[in-house]
Amino acid sequence: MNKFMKEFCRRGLLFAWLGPVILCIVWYFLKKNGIIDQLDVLDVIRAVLSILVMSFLAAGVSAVYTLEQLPYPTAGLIQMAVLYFDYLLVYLWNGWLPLSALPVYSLIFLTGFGIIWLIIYLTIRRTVERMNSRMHNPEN
Amino acid sequence: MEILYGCREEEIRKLDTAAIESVYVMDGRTYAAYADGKEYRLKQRLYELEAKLPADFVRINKSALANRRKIRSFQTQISGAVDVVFLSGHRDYVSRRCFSELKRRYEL
Repeated sequence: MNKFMKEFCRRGLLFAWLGPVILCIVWYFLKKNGIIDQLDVLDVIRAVLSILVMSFLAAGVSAVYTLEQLPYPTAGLIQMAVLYFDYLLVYLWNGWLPLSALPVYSLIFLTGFGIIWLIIYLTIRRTVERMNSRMHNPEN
Repeated sequence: MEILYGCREEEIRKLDTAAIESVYVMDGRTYAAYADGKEYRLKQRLYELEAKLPADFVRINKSALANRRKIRSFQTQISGAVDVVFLSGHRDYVSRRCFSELKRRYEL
């Protein structure tokens, strides 16, 4: 578990910066399109820090795939649950998501997660097909 | 490679490494699955064998080495896990860590 926590922190710290950068890009385009004009200092602090924590957790939880004793589906479910609540809590806390939009958020999240998983599965399957091909025809 | 001996019931025999399908650990003991369909117990530990066996033997999970020449195919499970199927029909799982190494071995 100690090894897992180290890997969790390593991944989290490596990619935590991405969240605030994406937030800046979103704010930039909102400003450019005239949707927001100015931001409150405390709102900015809250948003940046919460996004930083959110990104840390989102990146860190991918370490669950290093736990060999966990089958892929279990690891995937753990990651999905953590990401779902991670994003949801930060969006709600910052007031970016009204509670009434929860079903829409859930649908978009699950669809997105399903598509990513399908891509991963198809990538593994394609790799395995190429390994089989390479094994039977080494010159391929 | 030093000569490898395997024992089974009362029999002790010299094993041809090329005829070994896989080497695995079960209940803390090391076994070789041999081409004749029999399984022979080995005295060496898995990590010792990994260092001594020819390069055809690759680690497929924390408890097993596979002879690449005895692999029929790899198969993807619906869960995304990967299995290795040997010529004898026996199958074992490929761990995620070892899968990366296998990809490298197959130059993918």
